[in-house]
Amino acid sequence: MKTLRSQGKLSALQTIQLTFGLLIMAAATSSFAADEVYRAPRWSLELKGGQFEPDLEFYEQFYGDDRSTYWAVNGAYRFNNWVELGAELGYSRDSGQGTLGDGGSLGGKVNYTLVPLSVYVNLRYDRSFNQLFVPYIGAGIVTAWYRQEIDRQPNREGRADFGGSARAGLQLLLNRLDPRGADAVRAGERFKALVFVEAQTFATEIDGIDLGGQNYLLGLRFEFD
Amino acid sequence: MNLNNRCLWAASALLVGCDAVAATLGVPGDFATIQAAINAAAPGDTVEVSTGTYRENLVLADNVDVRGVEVARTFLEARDTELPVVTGTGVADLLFANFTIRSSADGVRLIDSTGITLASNVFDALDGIGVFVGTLSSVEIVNNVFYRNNVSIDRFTTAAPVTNNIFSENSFTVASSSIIPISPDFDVSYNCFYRNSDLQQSGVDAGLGTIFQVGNPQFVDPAAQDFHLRAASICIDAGTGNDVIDDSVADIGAYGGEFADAMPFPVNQPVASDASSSNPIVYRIDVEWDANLDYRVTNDAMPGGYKLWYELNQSGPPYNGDDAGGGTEPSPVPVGNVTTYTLENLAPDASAPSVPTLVSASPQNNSVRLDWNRAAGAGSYRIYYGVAEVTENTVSVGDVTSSQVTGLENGTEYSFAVSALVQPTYYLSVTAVDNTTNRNESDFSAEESIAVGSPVEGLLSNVLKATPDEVTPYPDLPDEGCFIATAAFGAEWMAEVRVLRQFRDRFLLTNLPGRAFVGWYYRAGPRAAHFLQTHAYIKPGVRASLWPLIVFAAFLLGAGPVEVFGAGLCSLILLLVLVRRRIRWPELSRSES
Repeated sequence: MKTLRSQGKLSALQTIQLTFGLLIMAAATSSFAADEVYRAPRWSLELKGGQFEPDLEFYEQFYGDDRSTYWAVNGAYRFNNWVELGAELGYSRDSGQGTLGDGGSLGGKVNYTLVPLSVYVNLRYDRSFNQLFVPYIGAGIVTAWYRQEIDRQPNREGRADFGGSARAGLQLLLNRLDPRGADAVRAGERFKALVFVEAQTFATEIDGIDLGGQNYLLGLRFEFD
Repeated sequence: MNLNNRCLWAASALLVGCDAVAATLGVPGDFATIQAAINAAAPGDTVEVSTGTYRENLVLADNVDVRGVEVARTFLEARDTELPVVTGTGVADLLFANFTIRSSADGVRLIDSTGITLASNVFDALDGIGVFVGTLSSVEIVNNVFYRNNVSIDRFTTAAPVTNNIFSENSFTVASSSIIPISPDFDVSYNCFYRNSDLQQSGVDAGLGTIFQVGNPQFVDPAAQDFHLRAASICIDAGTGNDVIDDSVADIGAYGGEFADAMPFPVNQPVASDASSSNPIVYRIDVEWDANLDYRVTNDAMPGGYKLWYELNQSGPPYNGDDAGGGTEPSPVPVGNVTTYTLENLAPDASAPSVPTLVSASPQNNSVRLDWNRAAGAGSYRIYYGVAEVTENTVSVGDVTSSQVTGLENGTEYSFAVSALVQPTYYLSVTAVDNTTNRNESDFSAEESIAVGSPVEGLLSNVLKATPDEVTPYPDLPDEGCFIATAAFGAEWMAEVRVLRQFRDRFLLTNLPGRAFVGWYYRAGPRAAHFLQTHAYIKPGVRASLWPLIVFAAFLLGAGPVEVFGAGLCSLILLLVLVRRRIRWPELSRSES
């Protein structure tokens, strides 16, 4: 029988997919471990931006440097204090050049847009309403839509296959730093505002080309019921 | 200002040998605001205000005259509309003249001020009081125009003679809201009245005081603040005293009397057209402008006229052109009392512009993008390109420094160069000249420009080579554009698929419903394509069902507007027939049953 072990070591994508499966199982069973005193707000919304470093080997050669700007928005639902299920839509766009003819010199103008969509499960260490720092890790599945706009040529667009994603981050509770500001937004309700840094890695392939990479992001998170 | 006092003051200054020589303080040349100039002025000085619009609330100073250089184009507006535009409290011996006061409530308010002369001003559509003269004041109100104000003059003193003024379409002319009112007729003489509400009785106009005129003053163009008089005006030579402009009996209004500004109103921007002939080549320009209807310009018996100013390749004054008429009509050309003129036998030419530097030639698919440095003196550029010789083809472009040369063959090396061109251009202006012995001349009209003759081309730039070719983006990703057709016909480069893609680009992506359909198709298409790929036996049926659409698309892609319209009409008729049949089916089924 051909197992993952029998193929040698696990690929990064397989590792992420395996982790995602484990996290889904954890989410399903985690209610038994829920904190009975503190109940985290159920819903969350995140806005974040930062840097995207594609895994494409020659990206810098065609686009001037090895990174581009990345924006994302996501929403999540908390099953309990430490497990949440979310979806994230990202956006990255860069301008560069292509190659002329049969792999000849650089030329033309190419705009490359990537819109990844991922569904993920995060494990959060969140034990009280006023906990200052909240670390978290997560994994999920991801796909991405792409568009390549080439001057004076038809666009190329499509969607990559499903792949895996993993993320880890650390959040800082803004309510502790500015309680009046938090009250001003949602007075009398359970509302948390957090600022965070996050690192992501994802992989999604089309015709054997991995459109994924690493994201380093700074964002704001709002939690509410 | 009381001239006798002023002369006495000047004479005494000379006698004592002091350094108090009257100075003229220019605004905005010497001072940014009129008030700053008034504050800096010494007694006897004059503040002279250039044309423009000044938003200030002025406070007058003792013995400091304030004059605009041109009534029609020197505007005063209140910065704080709660306050009068001009206030004089306890001041004496000054002249305030040659302004148009507008867009405000109150114009001039004088309290306890003596020896004041308000002359040759226009009070235009003020909501409050044009001139208020309080008790203990003495003010001469002479040769002004009061046009469409609420109250023109409100007097609290008998020492405020009103002479040589035009009152036109005001609500109240000369009023007195004092506890002891001053009669509106008191010391009011040689004025002109027209359609003032308080003076009309049963629709019939009337005047005030003694020796007055009643009737249309015939302003040239009040909407443009031109309150000069037309030839039919009853106010011409109807005032008292001397007229500084033409040395005759004073006109009534702002352009009569001893303080009037003599400049005619500027002519509107002329219109020029190229009237050159090609065989033989003679360069000429027809110029046309609107007449200045000031009677001193249009007077039939002794008209004024116009001067036509021009210069080649040089915008703005002094307009030193010298080539018209084969060199016999240097600028300005005194054209007489006409409103059209042709500059004949011009010699349009220009210095060749410098040589641009072609910086880059970037190949793209069937095209090359060129970038070059701007050349001094260039007005436009010409691109040269070719395979064997760079001069095989030319493309003229405007005043740009980059351009795309299209329609090139991929895989072929082209040479590119660029040259700069300059177009000989004439710049024109017209001035009006009155019929007085001084031949007073207006300011320049707005400038007109016109290109005449052939462009002058500079030398070719450096040559760059480039080979256009199709661009492969990185990463080299597939286009999943026409999912179903690609799956059905096997590959996206098949002719049938290309037809559908062209149809999408030309007929669907160019309109909102089409884009909506494409959006839906892009969402649903991949699933259908995947189904087709995994169920190959369906492909022939899909291909067959797509063929009518492909034929229709191919027809539209190759058709002209008439064919497209015909196809659309046929489709509409077919749709109507189907709808009608569909409506009738229930009826048929009922009848059958």
